[in-house]
Amino acid sequence: MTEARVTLTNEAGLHSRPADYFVRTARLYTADIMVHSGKQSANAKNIIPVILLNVTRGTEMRITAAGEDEDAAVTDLVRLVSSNFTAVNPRVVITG
Amino acid sequence: MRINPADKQAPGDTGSPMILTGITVSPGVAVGSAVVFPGVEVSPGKHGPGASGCDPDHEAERLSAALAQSLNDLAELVTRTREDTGMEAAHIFRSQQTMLEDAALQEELHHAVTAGGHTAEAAVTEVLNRYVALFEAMDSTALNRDRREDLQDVQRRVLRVLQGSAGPSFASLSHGSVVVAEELFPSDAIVIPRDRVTAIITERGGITSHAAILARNFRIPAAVGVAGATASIRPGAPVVLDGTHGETARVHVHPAGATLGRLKRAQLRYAARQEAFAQERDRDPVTLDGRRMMLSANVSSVEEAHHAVASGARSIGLFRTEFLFMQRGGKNAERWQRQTYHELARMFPEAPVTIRTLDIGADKPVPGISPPQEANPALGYRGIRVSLDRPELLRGQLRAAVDAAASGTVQILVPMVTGPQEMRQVLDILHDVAGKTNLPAVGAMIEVPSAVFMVDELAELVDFVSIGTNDLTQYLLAADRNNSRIQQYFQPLHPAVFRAIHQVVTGAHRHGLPVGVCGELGGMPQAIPVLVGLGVDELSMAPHALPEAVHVIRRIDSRQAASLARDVLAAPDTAAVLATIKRRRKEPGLV
Repeated sequence: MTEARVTLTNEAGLHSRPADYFVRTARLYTADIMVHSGKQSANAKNIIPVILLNVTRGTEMRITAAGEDEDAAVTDLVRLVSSNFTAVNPRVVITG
Repeated sequence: MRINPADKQAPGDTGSPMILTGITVSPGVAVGSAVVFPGVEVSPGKHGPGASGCDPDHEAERLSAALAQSLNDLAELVTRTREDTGMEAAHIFRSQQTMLEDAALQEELHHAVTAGGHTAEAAVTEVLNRYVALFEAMDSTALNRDRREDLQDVQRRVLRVLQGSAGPSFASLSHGSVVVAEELFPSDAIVIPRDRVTAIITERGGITSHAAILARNFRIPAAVGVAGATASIRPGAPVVLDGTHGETARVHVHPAGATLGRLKRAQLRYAARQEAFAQERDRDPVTLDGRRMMLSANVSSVEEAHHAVASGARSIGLFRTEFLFMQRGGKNAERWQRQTYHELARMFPEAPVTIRTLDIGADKPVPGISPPQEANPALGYRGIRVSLDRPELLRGQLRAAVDAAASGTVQILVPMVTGPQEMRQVLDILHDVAGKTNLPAVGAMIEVPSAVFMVDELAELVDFVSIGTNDLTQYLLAADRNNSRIQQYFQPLHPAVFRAIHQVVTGAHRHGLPVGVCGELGGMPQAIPVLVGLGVDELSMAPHALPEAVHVIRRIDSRQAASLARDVLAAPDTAAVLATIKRRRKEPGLV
């Protein structure tokens, strides 16, 4: 299992667009990915529970992943969060 | 089933004038006739919960088909919205798509049909209602609480596909329609014909609701939180939405002829002025005779600071730290303050970011920090009094601000100072946390009448002063601005307020200190020439007021303004102040 901690620094927290990017990035990987904030946890691929976590700015969240591509998944998600949701995996950007 | 607007009003039916209020989410003035969309639940019809004798296989097929169709429609909507409205709007539907694609949600829906014996409609209704309830149970300050509307919007979409019904019909709207609805979901808002709808008025929704974001993107004036709108506005009624007075929107229903004429003129003026201000937004705030004013923004969050930059702000004259504490509570306060202050300092590398220490009291509560109710909160445990009583809070704030000075120019503003004694205490603590070198500039907020008289003594201790005219007015005139019974006594343009400002400017300038005005007066177009004339150096205001302030300053001659200020200082009452400003504004060098 791979684990990382990252603090949300964007103003709105894990709100509409950031939550969408986060979940869509998680869905690119086969590993089981969980996001933990305080005592609560949510499957990182399910957007409703992720939004319900209501992770706000300044909160540290923990990301855990288990599966073949767990390292890549955690790296990608940490990069997304720590870049204030600006380093977005091209595969989840709206196109077309 | 087609949901149509309520019947048109019979011709000749007139109503009496009425004014409703709400919150402006998209500013402007708009005139039109009401088209009322009462709250229409998308009904699951005979397939509703409890429908008997349904065939699970058949229902599962219907559900799968409806989900596929809805996802397809959403994907198209994302693409189309990105093209005709923009990325921000497109993301609204994209996150709805992400919700509906969710494997866990789809599985739950299917389970309700196959194992629970539900119809497809009942499954969609019950499963999504459960999630909606979880959102509604969230803390009322939770940013994500508003995402309820997206879940409900998705639910309505799938139910409509299952029922083969359309959404609200906007197709038949005539030009000049004002949409009045209980709530407008994003999917309905996006199909509003933008060339024919002049305004949007809803009972529910907030500033962060997605319908509000869409209205701003469409540049259609909109108000939310207009209580009783669908019940009290009759279809076809003439309506004017006036969203040009800050936060509060006024909805005039059946306005009298004279009111309508005035509002129509206001509409033309508003449009012309917006155009003129937009052109000058990025120009220097310099008077005709070359005096440069410092123009700053009052903000409460980094998000607002970004908005301020877009409105032309080059410095922050007042960063209210209360909102941060309200959002976060006191936990890890120093760490997130440090992050926030650094971020702000980096946004304004050239000019100061003024951080006001926590300004709370029983009348300005922050959960977990505020004192219990007091008989006289405005005169009680408030502002710097709280900080000095809880020095660990103040030390954390000062440490975070000192640290952020590494990223730019940060200065500290202390609220509710009555005289030099509190200032000395704050400076002692500052020296203790930061040493005596490389200290950020420290200023006293002048908002208590005693501080006006003690400005010389204060000036010996601080680097700048900033006049908080809202509280100063309330204290000078002993009038609570939130008490509607005595509103006539709260007069921001009272001569006593200008005389106090004059005394502060004179005293501070004697010591070579700059003077700012960070209350609402600083952003009032009619007050700006007077403030310039009084010698105020900095005006700090709500970001949206900045473009007009640039426009005004660039038309002022500071010598003419000084002569106007002398007249204002001699005025016996507020009416005389207003009359003087009005009479003299036509002169060259004044506005």
